[in-house]
Amino acid sequence: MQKTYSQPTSRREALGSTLRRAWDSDLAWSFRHSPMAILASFTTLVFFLLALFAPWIAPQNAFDPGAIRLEDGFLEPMERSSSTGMLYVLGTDSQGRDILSAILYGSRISLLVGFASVGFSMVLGVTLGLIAGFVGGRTDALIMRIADIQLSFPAILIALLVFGIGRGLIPPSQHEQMAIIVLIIAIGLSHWAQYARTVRGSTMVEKGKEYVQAARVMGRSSLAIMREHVLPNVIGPVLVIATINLALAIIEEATLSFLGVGVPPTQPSLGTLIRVGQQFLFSGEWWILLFPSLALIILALAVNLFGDWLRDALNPRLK
Amino acid sequence: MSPAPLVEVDRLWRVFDVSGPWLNRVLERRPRLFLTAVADVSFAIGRRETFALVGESGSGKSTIAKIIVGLLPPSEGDVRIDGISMSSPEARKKRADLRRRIQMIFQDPYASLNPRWRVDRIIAEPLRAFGLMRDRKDIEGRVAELLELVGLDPSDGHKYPHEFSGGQRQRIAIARALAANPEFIVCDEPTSALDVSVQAQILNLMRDLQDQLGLTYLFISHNLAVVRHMATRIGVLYLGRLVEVAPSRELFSNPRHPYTRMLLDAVPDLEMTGRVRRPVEGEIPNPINPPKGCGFHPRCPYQNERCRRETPILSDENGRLVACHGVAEARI
Repeated sequence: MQKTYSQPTSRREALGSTLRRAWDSDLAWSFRHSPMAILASFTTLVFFLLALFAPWIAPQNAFDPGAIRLEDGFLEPMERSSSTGMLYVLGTDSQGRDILSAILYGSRISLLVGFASVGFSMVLGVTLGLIAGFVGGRTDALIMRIADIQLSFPAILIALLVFGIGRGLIPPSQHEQMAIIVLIIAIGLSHWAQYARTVRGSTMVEKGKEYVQAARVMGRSSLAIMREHVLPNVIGPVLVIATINLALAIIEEATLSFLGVGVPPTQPSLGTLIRVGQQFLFSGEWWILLFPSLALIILALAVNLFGDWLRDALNPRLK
Repeated sequence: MSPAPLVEVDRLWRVFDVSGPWLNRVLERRPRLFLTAVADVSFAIGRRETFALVGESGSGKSTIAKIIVGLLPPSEGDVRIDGISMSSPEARKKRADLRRRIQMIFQDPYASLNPRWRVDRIIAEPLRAFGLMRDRKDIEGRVAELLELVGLDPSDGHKYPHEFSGGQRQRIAIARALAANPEFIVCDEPTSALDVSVQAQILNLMRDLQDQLGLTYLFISHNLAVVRHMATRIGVLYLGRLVEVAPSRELFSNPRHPYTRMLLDAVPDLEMTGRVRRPVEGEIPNPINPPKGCGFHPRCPYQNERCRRETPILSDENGRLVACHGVAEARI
C-alpha cells in the first residue's frame, strides 16, 4: 500500500478523507438508521430556514404596523381580506395581523434568543468549568459553590431576576432595543452552571492524563494547554447539553414573553403570540392561540428529540 | 564517566500533604498527614549514560522523574542540569533553554498522545512550543524526518493516534520527545504498558537513538530484565530512599543491599541454573507512616537493634554505594 502526499493537494485530500470519515463514522451511521433523528433534524432545519427567510416567505411583515389592516381583525383561517383580497391561511389576530406571518417572524425571535442564549451560557459555562477543573483549589471551590447556589433556584426565577436587574440598569428609552439582548443574557445566565459542572468533571479527568503533562514538560502555559489540549477533549458532552438546552431556552423565552417580561409586543415572539392569543380563547377566536402554540410545541419537540438522539448516539451505554 | 555530569540530583526531598480537607480534619479530629515520597536522594548522571531507577510501586521513582523534568517542585534539595539549578530564581532565563534540552517519555502511550490531534501536530508541538521553527514547510520536513527516525512512515503524520498500536504510539511519543533535539530524556516506565513482544523493539530503538544522537537517559522501571538491557548504572529505591547505586553489571553479579538481593532472587531464571527462586517477601510499608530506622528493617533477615533505631545513609563501602548498617558493619 503506497501512499504519496504531494503538498498542493494534501489539504484537499485531507478534507476529502475527513468528509469520508465523517460519513463512515458511528454517529453518521446512527443518524442514517434513526428515522426519529432524521425527522427531528429535518423539522428543525425547516423551522430554521423559514425563520431565516421570513421576510421573503411571509405574506406580511408582522413587525410593521403599517402593513397591518385593523379592519381585517379576527378573520378565521382561510378567510380573505375584504379590502385587498389577501388570503389569511391561519387567520388574523385582534389587530388584523396575519397569524402565519406572525409565527414566521415570531420563530425568528425565538430561535435567535434560543441560539444566542445557548451560545452565551455555553461560552460562559465552558470557560468557568475549564478554569475550575484545571486550576482546582479555591478557584474551583468558589466557582462550583456559585454554580450550586444557582442550581438550587429554578432557571426561570434566575432569568426573571436578571431580566429585572437588566431593565433597572438600562435607561427606559432604550428598553425596546435592548430587550432582546437582556433576554439573551438572562436566559444564558440561568443555564451556565450545567455546562460548568460537566466541563469541570471531564477537565479533571483530562488534566491527569499524560498528554497534558507532556505539554507541561514543553513549558506550555496553562492557558494554551486548556485551550488546545483539554478543550477539544471535553467539548463532546457540551454539544449534547447545548442541543437539549436549545429547546429549554426556546421554551424559557416563550415563558418569559408569556409572562409579559420578554420581548416587546411590537416584536412578538412565539411566547408573546401565545400570551396575546390566550385572551381570546374563551371568546371563540381559537386560532390566535392554537397555531403559535402548535409551532412552539413542534419546534421544541423537534430540537429536544434531536438532542436526545445525539446524547444516546454519543453514549452507547445509555441505550 | 566524564568529569562533569550532565544531571546532578542533590539531596532531593519531596513531601506531599495528604491531609483531608480542613473542615473534615477539624470535625473528625484527624491530624495532618504527610507522605514522604522522596527522601534525601542524590545521584549524578554522566553524559551519554543510562541511569536506571528501580523500585516497587510507591518507592518514589515517578516522583523523582517529575521533579527532574519540572512537573513538580522539590520540597528540599536541588536538581542541576549542566550546572544550572532548576529551582533557583536566578537561572530563569536559562531554564527556558533547559526545558528544551530535557524531554520525557511517558508510561502509557494511550494517554500521552492527545486523541484529538493528528500525529504531525503532536510531533511538531515542541517545535512550536520552543519557537524552533515557524515555517510550515520546515516543520513538515522535520516531522517527516522524525517519523522516519523512529521507524514510521512519513505519511502516518496525517493520521490520528487511535489508528496506531501501542508500540507505534510509543514510537510517536519518542519522536515528539526528540523533536526539539534534547540531550537528556527521562523515560518513566516507557515499556511497561506494552506487549512483551513489542517491548524489545522499543528498547532497541531507544538504544539506537542514544548511540545515534548522543542522548542521556534517566530510565525508570520496576522491570529488572528491562533495566539490565538498558542501564549503565542502576539506583535501587526503597521507600523514597536510594539503598544502593552500582554499575549495572556489578549490581546484577554482586548485589550488596539485602533488598537488592531479595529483588534479584525473585527474577525468573531463564538459564535454568537450578538456582532456587525466592519470591519477594512482604510489602513496601505505608510511606505515610514509615518504620523507624532503616525503612527496610521489617522485611530484612539481617536486621538488628541499630537498624530499628538509626536510618542508614548511602555511603561508600569498599567501592560500592550502599545504605545498610549490615554492610557497613561487614555483617552481610
